[in-house]
Amino acid sequence: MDGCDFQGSEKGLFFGHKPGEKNIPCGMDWQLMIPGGAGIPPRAWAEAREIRLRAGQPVTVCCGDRLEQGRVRLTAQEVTWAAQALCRHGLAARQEEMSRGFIPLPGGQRLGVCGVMSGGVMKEITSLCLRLAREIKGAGETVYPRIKGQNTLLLGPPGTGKTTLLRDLIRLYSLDGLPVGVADERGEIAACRDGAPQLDVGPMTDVVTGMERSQAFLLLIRAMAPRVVAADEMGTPRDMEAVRQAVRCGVTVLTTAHGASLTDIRRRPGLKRLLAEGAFQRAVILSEVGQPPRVEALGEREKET
Amino acid sequence: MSIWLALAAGVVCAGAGHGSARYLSAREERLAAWETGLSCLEGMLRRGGGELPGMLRRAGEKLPALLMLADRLEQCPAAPPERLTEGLPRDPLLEEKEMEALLSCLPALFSPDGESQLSAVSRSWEEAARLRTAAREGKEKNSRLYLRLGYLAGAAAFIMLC
Repeated sequence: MDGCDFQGSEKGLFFGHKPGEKNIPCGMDWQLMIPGGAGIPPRAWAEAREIRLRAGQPVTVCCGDRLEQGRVRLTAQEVTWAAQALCRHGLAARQEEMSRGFIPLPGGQRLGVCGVMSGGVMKEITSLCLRLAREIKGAGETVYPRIKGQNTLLLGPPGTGKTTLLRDLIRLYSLDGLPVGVADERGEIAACRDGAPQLDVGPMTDVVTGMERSQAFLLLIRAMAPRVVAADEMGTPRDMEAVRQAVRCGVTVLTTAHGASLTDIRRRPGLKRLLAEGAFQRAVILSEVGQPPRVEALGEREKET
Repeated sequence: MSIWLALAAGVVCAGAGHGSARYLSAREERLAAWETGLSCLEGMLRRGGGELPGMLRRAGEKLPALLMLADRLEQCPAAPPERLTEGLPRDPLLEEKEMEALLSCLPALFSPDGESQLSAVSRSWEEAARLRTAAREGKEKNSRLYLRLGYLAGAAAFIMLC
């Protein structure tokens, strides 16, 4: 654009509208569509798991165990511009997704949106939470041989990589030639866009996106004859019933749940009942980022508990 | 010598008359292109919209201002709307206030609210239709007049100079 200042940086181009004003980054890389990024070291962008923009606050980059903040406070307009940029200026066409609270983006990223709703329409955006998909192929290789063919529950606190591990286990099952059905309600597992998964879930995987998990489980079992069904964060009574139906049909179930340990899980009536019924034979417990997951055999022990 | 000069003067006057008539036709065609483009954009928004650069390219096939805005959105998606819309090319056949009216919907296109986008584009479309109607009426009224004046002036110049 004529009269614009472009500064080169190791991450790409930044577009500054006038000397002294806040740098508004631009470029095709999502990292560069976040305003107010000046002051955040490049390493933080590379390690970022979440980027939060809030009106009146500096941009915050969450890198696992630490936070990095920008130097300048953002305006509500800048937060809205960032949302528009991330959605290629198609926000108005994504009102339904916004009313559900999140918008899936290319590359498996997920944009959480918060703001002023009026008449079911988001009129003003005041907060954004960009969650970055981490695809780590091979994350499940040590775990897979120990859980293959067993109904498995992946446990861990938020941010420990349950979804990343789930995705890789789905991929491994699929590479083994087993048809896998994935109930991907929020689009975080396969990140489908225009019908195609953007993250690698294997060649034999069928994905249902945007449908309530328990319904999607049953649809997959009826329609796609999977050998394995997988979903993220099953915890409602309907989810539990769907897991029971899958187990009764002889389909291997792979799912995740929030919880630091089996003790945590046993405090939740729905999951406790499923464990007592012997629905799950394996638990994979993720405790901290970077620590290898621990595989525990269930079944007999749970029935005795 | 003087006959050639007279002939040249006659041709120039007739040519001026033709030129004025063509100018009126060309203005109407440009306004028709704007009306069609804005109608296309309005239709896409009514059907649910989509990504703005794509919509602008489809609507702005013959409209350099919209095509340039689409390019800028793709090159600098996070730039503020006022920078994206500044310095867009003007149509040489249209007056500045006409261009302002036609481009008045652009700021609303950056809103996250589809209703705001649609109502702004609808207003610009109506304005384009009104300007085109006025241009067509002006062309019908004045085009023949300019042609005849051109011929008359040409003939008068020829006679006077001979």
